[in-house]
Amino acid sequence: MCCRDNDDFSDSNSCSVFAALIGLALAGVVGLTLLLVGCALPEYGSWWPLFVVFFYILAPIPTAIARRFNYDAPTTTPCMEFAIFATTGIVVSAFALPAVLAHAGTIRWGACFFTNTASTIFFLAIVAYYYMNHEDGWNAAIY
Amino acid sequence: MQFQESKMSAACLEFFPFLNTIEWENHRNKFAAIGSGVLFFGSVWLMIDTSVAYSPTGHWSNVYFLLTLAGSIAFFMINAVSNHQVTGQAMDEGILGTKGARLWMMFAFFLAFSTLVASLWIMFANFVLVEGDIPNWPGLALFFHSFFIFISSLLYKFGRSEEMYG
Repeated sequence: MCCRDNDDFSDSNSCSVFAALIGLALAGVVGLTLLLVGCALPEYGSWWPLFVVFFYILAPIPTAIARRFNYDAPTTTPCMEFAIFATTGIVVSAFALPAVLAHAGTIRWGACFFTNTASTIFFLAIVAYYYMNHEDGWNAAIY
Repeated sequence: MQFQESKMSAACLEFFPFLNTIEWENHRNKFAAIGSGVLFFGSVWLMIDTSVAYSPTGHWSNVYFLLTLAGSIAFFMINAVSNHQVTGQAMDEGILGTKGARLWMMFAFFLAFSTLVASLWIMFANFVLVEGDIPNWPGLALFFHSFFIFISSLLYKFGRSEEMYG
């Protein structure tokens, strides 16, 4: 395995990349599992919370598009800022949708709590993925 | 405008020492965009929630979403013109020129203030000055949502500095 050989320093970077990838995959699966638990438990029984997956899919798109336009950019551009604005809106919507559903009585508040926890874990995984992929290149990626 | 903003931010930093640990100036635009997004979409979801909770009771009409639409149009109009164009420092003047840019900006603020006034009017007419025991929260939610959209457009417009663009 790559981690066992301490003399060969060229592999140390790839080993940490593997560990980060596996950790991210685990975080993503834990998040999705929590989301499904929030839907599938017998006392909740409603599958409405699955609609937040729509927001999970939408969330990386604006920043990905903005990055494409200005790769060699100065610190920030109006396009990137609007992408950040849109991404913030999508994240807020992913948290607000279960709360509105629970307030209306369509799902229980426990299911809302599970779904919001799942959203937190999933979005943190996406942010960690960006850190991992862009720590060497593009200046001031997200933070 | 820039000097006054930095004075206010210096005062905020004095009162909240935690804020000195974050590196503000380099990421000021990102924080302004994030804060503006939270306010804007939070207020839209507040309206959706109020509509869902109070439509069955008959105290709400979905016509009030016109205020959200007007506030959003005002947001985009305010931010469509850069600060450089309004102050006359831009390189190319575009179709309307500096005078046109100022007129556009004035009309955009006109629309934003009208939205605020309209939400106050609806709040008082339909939810405060009515005889009997009715829920007040829909009117408050209406006013808060329109106020937060206005604050969000101000934050997006003046919270970002254009010094950092190439």
